[in-house]
Amino acid sequence: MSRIADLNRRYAAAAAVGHNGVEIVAVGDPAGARLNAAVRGLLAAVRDDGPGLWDDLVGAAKALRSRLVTQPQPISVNPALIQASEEVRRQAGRLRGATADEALLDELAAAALAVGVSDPPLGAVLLRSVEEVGPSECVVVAASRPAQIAITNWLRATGARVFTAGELERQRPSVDQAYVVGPPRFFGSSLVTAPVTSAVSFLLPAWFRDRSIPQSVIAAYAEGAIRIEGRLFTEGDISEPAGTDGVPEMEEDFLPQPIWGARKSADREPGADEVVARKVLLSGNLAILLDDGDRIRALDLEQPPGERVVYTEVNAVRPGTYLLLRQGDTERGALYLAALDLLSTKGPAVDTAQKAWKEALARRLKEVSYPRAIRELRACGVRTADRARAWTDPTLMRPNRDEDFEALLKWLDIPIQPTFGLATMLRRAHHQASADLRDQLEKAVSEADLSVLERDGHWRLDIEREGVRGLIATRAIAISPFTEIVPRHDARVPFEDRSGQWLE
Amino acid sequence: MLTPGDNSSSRSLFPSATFAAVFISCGWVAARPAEPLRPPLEILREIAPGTLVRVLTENKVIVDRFTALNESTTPARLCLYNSQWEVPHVRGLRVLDGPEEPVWSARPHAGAIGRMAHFGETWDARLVSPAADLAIVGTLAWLRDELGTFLCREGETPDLPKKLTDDIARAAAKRKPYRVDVGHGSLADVILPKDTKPSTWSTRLYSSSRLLDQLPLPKDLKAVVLDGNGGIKYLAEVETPVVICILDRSVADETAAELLVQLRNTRGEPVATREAIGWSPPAGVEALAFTVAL
Repeated sequence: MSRIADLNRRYAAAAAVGHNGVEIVAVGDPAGARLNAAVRGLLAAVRDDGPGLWDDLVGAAKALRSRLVTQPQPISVNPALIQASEEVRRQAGRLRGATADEALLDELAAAALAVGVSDPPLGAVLLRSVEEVGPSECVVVAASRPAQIAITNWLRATGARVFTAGELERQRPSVDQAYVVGPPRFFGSSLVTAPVTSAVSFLLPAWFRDRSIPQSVIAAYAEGAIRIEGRLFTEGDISEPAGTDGVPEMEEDFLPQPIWGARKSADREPGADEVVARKVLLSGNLAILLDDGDRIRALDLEQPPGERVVYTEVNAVRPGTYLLLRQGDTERGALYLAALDLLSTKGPAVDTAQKAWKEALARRLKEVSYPRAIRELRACGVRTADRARAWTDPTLMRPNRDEDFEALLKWLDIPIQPTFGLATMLRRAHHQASADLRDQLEKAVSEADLSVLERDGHWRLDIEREGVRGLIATRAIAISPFTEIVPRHDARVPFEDRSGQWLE
Repeated sequence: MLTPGDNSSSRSLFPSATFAAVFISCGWVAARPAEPLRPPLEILREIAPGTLVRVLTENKVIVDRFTALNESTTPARLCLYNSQWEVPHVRGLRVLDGPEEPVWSARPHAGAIGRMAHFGETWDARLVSPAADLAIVGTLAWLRDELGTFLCREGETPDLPKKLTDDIARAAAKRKPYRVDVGHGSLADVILPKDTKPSTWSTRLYSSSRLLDQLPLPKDLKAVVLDGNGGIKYLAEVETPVVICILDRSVADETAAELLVQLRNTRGEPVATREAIGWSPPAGVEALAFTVAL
């Protein structure tokens, strides 16, 4: 199909879904409803008791419950559900004696056992829907890669195609109907606001009460905003255990969460060799401490070869972002040296001038207190004054705006020239070094099998080439809700961390 | 609507952003006023040998150094370093003041867009003195592909030059990709990208993956189209009076949209597109506009 025909089809599908809305099929699932009620009882107990003791049981219980929603295959082809059910019972067993709430543990274990031995009713409805429309006339959309693999294995004999939302977008099969396994909020708004098919049905257990349909981020403020309506259908026995009606679950309550522990840093300003950083959990049992400094190298798999290695803003790093990291080192340190190298004989003069203004800035920040410094800089016309602390970092060349840099130097009582010229020269060399490295990275990435990266979430470049040695591409899984003060040399260097073990 | 110092940002959200940046850019280029042409002979009598000029003829756009004007022949003759032209065949001419190298390319023709936008008599002037104040930041491979597209009204067939259809057929027979160039009448002829050494250009193209190493953007830009997440993440570095961000709803990553909404809600002054610029988004397109004080 030509790109234009494809585009026309796309607009037609968006118009159809915009006009007709989407179908929401809520399937009665008494065993799941019982488990859901038990998990919510557990969460209430944890709220009263505080985390720590309960972390592993909560993680396991949420993992089991989310699998009921995203992996509805019959139990004979559902190892993930069986395994999660066993894990909940094991974790409940470990807590016996450690808590007074034995009844809660008993109910959780019994409910987990029940869902671990019965076929989820959702699966039967999915299979029937696919067969009614015809497996070649529809697609099934799974909420995650593990769910996609599991449902594919189950439905293989029918010939139905099963995609993740990302695959659906890339492959754009020419069928009219999509059956989505899971509630709308488990998927991005693009699945309904930019649909690939002209009809979309979501299948979910009736006990999952939050059936809200996401809209695009700008819709709340936009002209021509698209709001997709849902038409609700129910199937089977939708009765629920007593006392569980009403309150819809919030997602942060629903999905397994990483274990962040408590914030360790005291409430203070970071010192000269420290930065404020957020922990980012990464695929492959890794993590980094990401400071709010300059942009970080990332990989955009949606882009064509040659334009995949990108920079991304630190505050734009989200779960799903692929970061390009070095083992035991940061990129900026290496680039700074490469840039000085490119300047050859002028290198030492540049280095001296950079050190002088950065040290003067660090001193001034200490003398006048940070908030006052920012106020003064703003008053001098420095528009990006809130970056002042970042500018003390030796590997950050200079403020981006010429006007900001000039005003900053004036504020520091440093003559604008030659410092301004030397820093600009360094920035040019840094651009050159960065572009050179980028080309090497693009080359390395073009030789890689990106489907492995998508499947596993991480991938090591096993290439012996100067500049890209020891490089890892890894997907961000979760980002800590709080910041810590950490030594500057620890920031952005990947380390082993297993606190994301309950996340899929 | 725009006053100096205002950064008017308009963001549109499409089900798929394919072609959106290129069409919007066509609109920008078409809306720029054309600088009136002075008679070539008048200019040629004023300039010194060695001056760099852009010369437009019936078939070519040439950038070269002027050597002499020979008025003893009939008709008068323009001599450049690398070619000579009878002055009546020179449709337009201007003096350039850049370090540009001598280069020539086929004369662009605006095709269906030119007819719809009524370029008519201003087309020569647009080719000689394009506004050259627009930049697109996006995925170069896709932008180049889209620039090679021909547009026509529904029911019409695009007016492809015969040589082009022959060349495309030959390339297809050899199973080789064919890149439509400026001069064939595709969208590139309206946008006039400053890509591989063109003899006239109106729009700079940047790959969002390489932009960080190319900042800051030139100061003479009046508008920048940030196409997709990769481009929009550089919004903070763009200080042109107009910024157009194109969000692709089919892309699951919503960080760029979040950055925009945050900017609108913290520093922006909302603008109603219908009242302010007389534009209502077509079905399936969500749009929001706001100004930000610089």
